[in-house]
Amino acid sequence: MNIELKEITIRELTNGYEDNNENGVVGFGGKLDIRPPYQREFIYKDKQREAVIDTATKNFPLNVMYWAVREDGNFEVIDGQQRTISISQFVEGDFAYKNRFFHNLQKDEQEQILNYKLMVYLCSGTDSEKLDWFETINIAGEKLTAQELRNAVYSGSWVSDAKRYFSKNNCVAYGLGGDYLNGSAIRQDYLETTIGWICGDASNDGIKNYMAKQQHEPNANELWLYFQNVINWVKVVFPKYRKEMKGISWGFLYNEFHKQSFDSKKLEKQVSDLMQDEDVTNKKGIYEYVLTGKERYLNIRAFTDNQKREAYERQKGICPVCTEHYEIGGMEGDHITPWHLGGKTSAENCQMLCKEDNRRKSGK
Amino acid sequence: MVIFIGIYNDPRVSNFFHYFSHNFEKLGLKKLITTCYKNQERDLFSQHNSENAIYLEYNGDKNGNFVPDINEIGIKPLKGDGDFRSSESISLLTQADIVVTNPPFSLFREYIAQLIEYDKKFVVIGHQNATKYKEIFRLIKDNKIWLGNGFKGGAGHFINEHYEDYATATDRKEGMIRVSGVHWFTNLDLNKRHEDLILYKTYNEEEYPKYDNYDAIEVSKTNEIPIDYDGVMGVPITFLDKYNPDQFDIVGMTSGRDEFEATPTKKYINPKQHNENGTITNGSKANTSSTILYKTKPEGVYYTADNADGYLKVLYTRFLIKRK
Repeated sequence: MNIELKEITIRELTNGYEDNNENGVVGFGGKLDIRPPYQREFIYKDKQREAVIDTATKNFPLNVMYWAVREDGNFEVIDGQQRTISISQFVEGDFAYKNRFFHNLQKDEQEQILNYKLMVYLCSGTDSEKLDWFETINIAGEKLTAQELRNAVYSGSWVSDAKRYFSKNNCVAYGLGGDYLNGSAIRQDYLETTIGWICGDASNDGIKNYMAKQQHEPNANELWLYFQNVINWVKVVFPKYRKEMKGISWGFLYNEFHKQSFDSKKLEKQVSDLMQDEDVTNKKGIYEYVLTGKERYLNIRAFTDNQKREAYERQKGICPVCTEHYEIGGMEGDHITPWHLGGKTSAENCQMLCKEDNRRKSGK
Repeated sequence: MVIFIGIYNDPRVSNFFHYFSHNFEKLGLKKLITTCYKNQERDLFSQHNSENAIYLEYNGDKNGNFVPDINEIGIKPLKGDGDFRSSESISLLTQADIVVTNPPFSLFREYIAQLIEYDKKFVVIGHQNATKYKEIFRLIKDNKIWLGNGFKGGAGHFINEHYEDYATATDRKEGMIRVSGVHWFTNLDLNKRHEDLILYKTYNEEEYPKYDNYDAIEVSKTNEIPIDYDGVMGVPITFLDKYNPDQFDIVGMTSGRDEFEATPTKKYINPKQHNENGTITNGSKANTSSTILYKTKPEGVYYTADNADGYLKVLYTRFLIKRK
């Protein structure tokens, strides 16, 4: 990891400044992505913006900024985005400071600003070194999300193409799957989620490894096709949409089950019954449950303390399985008729078992 | 580079003139010319009161203060009233490399025609509905003009202190008029025109019904254009903002006209409009729009005709496009 301090004048920084809204903001002769395309926009309030100009006109130092050095030799702002944009907008003549636009300043005033030196740390090194470092410095101000940092570190043809599908406002990923995914495109949530799905590992490491492998691929067709397959599979298996379907890890379910065939009519009946079952407290988990059969997704309602106390007193503290006596703290509530056989979470279906027998019974 | 601005009100409040004069050096301009249409009032720099209009000429900063001063701006009288069709205005126009202006919307057709005739590069403001004028539409269809980078939220804000009835959505300011559905029209190339619209939907008959009177399918949202349909598709006029001539061809519009490739396949005989209050009025709109035929009576206003076996719904104007 190499961190090099460089003094950059405002003249150099604002040379070739271009704000293309959603398509990104560039400066430094076109070599610096101040804000990459399709990344959320931090908005400085007027007061903050003016404070930046105030600092520069007084020749006081602004905090250091960090730029990532990319493989192609260009740069991306990791820390200092709003300050950079404020300065550039002022020099561009977008807003007035103390009632004067930049072009109304006297020549010497303009020169003073253009010659002001910013302290910039240029960070270069291996991808993972950079990522570790950015995670470290990314603790103040407007933070970049984990995926925004990864996009900066693994920048290249693959990321640029993937963003066209997953990161624009109203992008196709949103059009196709917005009802099924949490988060927003511009915050890179869709991209992050989908990469996690395709590699079956949503951890930082899993996503990093995939992006490192893909970095120089000319396009992100594989990811986009995969995403379409996942969403289309969901629509075939569960044709009736419910709002509870938003934010489920569909990709993981697709990876595991897409080769199996399902009777979607039967599934729909199951889902509908479970939605009405008041003992199912996690309605979202119904979809995972009907595919995996794992009850834990449903958060079956537990017996209340009163129900448990009543059963304990009825049993006089005796566990019906091993016939030993226990204090109430050593026992757990149990469905006499199991939930999946139609037993309800009600007083008459509650018995107390010692912890050991309860675990044995439920096969935990 | 010479920039020409036609202004049809008081140049003192022209942000165009302000912007170009203040950024003259930065943009590397050679000359800035602006005419001022029949400015009867005292004008901006001197007591100038006449039937005649004036024009201003700015050749850059002379005294080194980087601000266009009164004495640096040449004010020259025009013999006529500064109308863009006058020979004086035309001779100024011929000097220009690029024309940037906000022409009167009512004369938009004529104005664009003049720019094309004199083979000028331009960036001018016009209303979204102008894309439906047959003269303008033809130019768009033939890729001679296109939409520029739009106004944010499709709304332009204009300052006019003599305008009484100003209204804005959220941004209120004295004398500010908010006009929605405004666009830049230009023949200068820009990146946006070369970006493919990414599509994700596939064609099916339910979602994309066929029109009754055009050989095309209805696509009600631009980003829902099906990826795999080879025939003609009707899209909202806002599609133009996403139009890339390498991706699609424009083959017509649903205005009932016969002058473009895609023409109506039937003319309704004796069309009637059935209003929600039960009254029946002339239904000629069915012959100047695209329609969808329903077997059962639809909600809201509907149409019938002697040669239509059912109920017709009339749609807004659609541009007809085809995949390349």
